[in-house]
Amino acid sequence: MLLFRSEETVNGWCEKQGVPRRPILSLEQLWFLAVAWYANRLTVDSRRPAPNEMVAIFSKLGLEGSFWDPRADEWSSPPQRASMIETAGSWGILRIPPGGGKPGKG
Amino acid sequence: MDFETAVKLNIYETIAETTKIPSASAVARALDSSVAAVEEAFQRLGAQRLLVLEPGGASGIRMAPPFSAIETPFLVRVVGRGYYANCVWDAYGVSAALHRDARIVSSDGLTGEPLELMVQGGKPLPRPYVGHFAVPAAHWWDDIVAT
Repeated sequence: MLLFRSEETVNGWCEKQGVPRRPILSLEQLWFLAVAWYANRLTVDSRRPAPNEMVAIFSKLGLEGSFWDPRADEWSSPPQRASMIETAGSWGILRIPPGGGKPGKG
Repeated sequence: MDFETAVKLNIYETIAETTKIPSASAVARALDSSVAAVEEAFQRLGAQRLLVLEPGGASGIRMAPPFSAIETPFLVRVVGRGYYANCVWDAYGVSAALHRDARIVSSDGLTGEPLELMVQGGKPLPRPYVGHFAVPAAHWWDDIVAT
């Protein structure tokens, strides 16, 4: 996913690429996802969130619907501007119990 | 600790120290193992989506998320070192993984205008910029490099 100065340049990029505009996230939302995915990546028991855990993480940011479901066979939700409902702490770590899920799509 | 975990940790510790993703032979030397055994571990870690291997069956690593083996438009400066990330999410991910503040040197996806992000005190400094998710989550790994 790319970085843009504004929604206007996102629109311009989508037009240039000939693709529909899809969800736009704030930097605060991206930081939340970065902490959830990667804060424990250098530890012994690190692993990627399982699909159900991904859905839960996205849901905390108000990112819901099939676009955000790695298990979805297809998606049909219209593009949306999700709102920030929770801000990640500083170095918060997503705690995943050992063997708590298998890696999946996403 | 099992061998696969040792390989994973060696990869990430090497990246943290050197900014570079190590080769299978370098990991094998560090762990006093064989290249073949390390390559098999790479494959298993790839199956878990903890690594993205170079295409075509090569033994090299293209991505050890959030880190990239090649230069990208997402350069993350951390305490005098420069790490390349795979996307804007991963650019913040480098800071999160290293538990270090960072300055991210990037650019607008349309215009190429230089854009800079900062993480200070373990939090991102406010900027009006945005990230665009062009691909649904179910299809991210259809072509993770393009995603």
